[in-house]
Amino acid sequence: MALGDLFDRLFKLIGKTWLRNLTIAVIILGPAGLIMGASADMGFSQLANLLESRDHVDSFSSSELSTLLGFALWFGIGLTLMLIGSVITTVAVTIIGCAEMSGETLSWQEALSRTFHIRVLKVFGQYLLEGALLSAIVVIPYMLLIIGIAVDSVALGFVGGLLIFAALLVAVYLGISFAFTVPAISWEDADVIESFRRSWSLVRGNWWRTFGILLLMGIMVSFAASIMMTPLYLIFLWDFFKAYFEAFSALAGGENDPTILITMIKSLGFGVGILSAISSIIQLIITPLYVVIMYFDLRARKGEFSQSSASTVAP
Amino acid sequence: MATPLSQSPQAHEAVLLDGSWERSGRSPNTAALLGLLGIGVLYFNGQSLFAIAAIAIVKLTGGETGSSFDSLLSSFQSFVGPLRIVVFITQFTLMLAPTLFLVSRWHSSNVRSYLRLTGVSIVDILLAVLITIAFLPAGNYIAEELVRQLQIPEKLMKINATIFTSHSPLEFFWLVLAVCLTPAVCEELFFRGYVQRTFERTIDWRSVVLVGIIFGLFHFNPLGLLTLAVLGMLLGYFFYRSKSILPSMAAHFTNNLVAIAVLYRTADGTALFPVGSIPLWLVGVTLPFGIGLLLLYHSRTAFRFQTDMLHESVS
Repeated sequence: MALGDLFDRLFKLIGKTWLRNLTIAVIILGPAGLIMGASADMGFSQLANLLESRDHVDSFSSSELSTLLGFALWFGIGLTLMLIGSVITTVAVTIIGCAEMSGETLSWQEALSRTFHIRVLKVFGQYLLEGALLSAIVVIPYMLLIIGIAVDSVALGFVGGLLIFAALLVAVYLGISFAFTVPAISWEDADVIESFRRSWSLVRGNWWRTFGILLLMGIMVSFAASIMMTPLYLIFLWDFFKAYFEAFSALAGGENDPTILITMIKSLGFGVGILSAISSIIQLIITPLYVVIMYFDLRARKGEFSQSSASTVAP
Repeated sequence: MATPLSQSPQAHEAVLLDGSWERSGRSPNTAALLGLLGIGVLYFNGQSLFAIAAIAIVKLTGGETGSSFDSLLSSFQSFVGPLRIVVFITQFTLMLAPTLFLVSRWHSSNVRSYLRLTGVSIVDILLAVLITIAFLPAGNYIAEELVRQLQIPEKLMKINATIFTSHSPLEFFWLVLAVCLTPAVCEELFFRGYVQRTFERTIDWRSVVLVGIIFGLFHFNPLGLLTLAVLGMLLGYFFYRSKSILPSMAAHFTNNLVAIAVLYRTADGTALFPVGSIPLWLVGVTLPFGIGLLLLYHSRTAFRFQTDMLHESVS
């Protein structure tokens, strides 16, 4: 497929599936976003109250500390739920996209039911394995650099620095080569190791093309998301911006009013949680779809679709 | 009786869709979205890089710097000249040139016809200009109200306005060229001529609303979003009804011209047109007048709208 055809199919696929994908994303990520927002709101309010009640914050009492840690824990739970929800949404959206590309229309309930199968556990395993592999590649030379700085060894530091650069290139190379593990698991029901092998074989011989197209699509999706998010930042962080400009006016007038900082902290919480949920939803209803498009394109390039079945590939 | 600006034979000619996108039978909506995002990414990133380069050059050649608020304002003033040049250059090179390229390559060898660079009655152009002027107080009132609600400091607004402020007739003339004529030509050909025109082929009048909102979002100015979106819809409506880009170009030019005329400062720093805040009564007078003129525009363009619709649908 030419680049224009890829985009044409992508936009058609988004148009056909966006409502189902949005429903899934809201059901899965909505509660996580609310928990994150509420815990952040309570945590920031608690912190602001503590700052307000004291002149100096040297130490916290054990009860104050436990309250703050409690909110941090809730925030952590919200964040973890958000990450888990992102993986589930990615799998469900991928299944819907793959089904549509194969001429099958799945409802969001069917997609979720297929997702909450062994597949989602495999995708978790795959993410952990890939994450560990890519992190190790970057972390090892980074540690060499730190050791080099710590023992005052210029040579070790230099080698570490060079290796970081090389490691980043390797990480990008592997990241692209393993970009199609999720569709391999979600659609072909491949095992974790098999999905790596499958993705690798699909990308082999088409690495630069895949890299270029994924990069281009990624940039465009980020740009579209940033355009949509700009007014939402103002709406959800209205009180924060109001306090921010108040602080700005005070500073411009040579005053320093610490209560404004407290208002700013108080007004941050809920908006941050909701905004991260909305941002994730926007990204997650589009990103898996362009991976799906590329996955089918690479399969077609490898001659996996016969002439007779080729017509069913188009959404 | 209205006097046509030009009686070009192309004015009522069916547009020949012989570009590569059209020949391959891809969706016009995809082309519009792809053009929008592609040129958007190119324009904003390119403009940012040019702006960074311009600021770096000013800094290297000993531009003013400082840490206090007033020195920040004066240091910003030293960047204004180069930034205006950046806006001027990037609008032509990163917005207009890719738009013309896309139209000629993807859609039609007759670029002028596709973009509706066709003659129209001078009365229609004057009406579009008057309607825009009549809507200006309402738009500015909303923007001012948001600024008041957020308590944005006046000094900060002053920094924001610096780029549009001129202090001599020569500087004013340069501003007319850089921030009135250039956006009126480049942004109109991009948003209305290309994006709206391409969307219009499938979603008809809804393209006016859609591209109006996109026009507002593309300015990355959440405070001005509502005003800019309404302006975008108004410009889109002129384009949609008259089947010519000239009324929207003239209206866009007028909108920007009023802004820079209001910000013009004489040698002693006083405003040439001291307008102050927009009173609500002015909105109450001008808005119904604007709506009345809009109805007049609607009835005046009815014949051309019907006949050109017929011609364009033939292709």
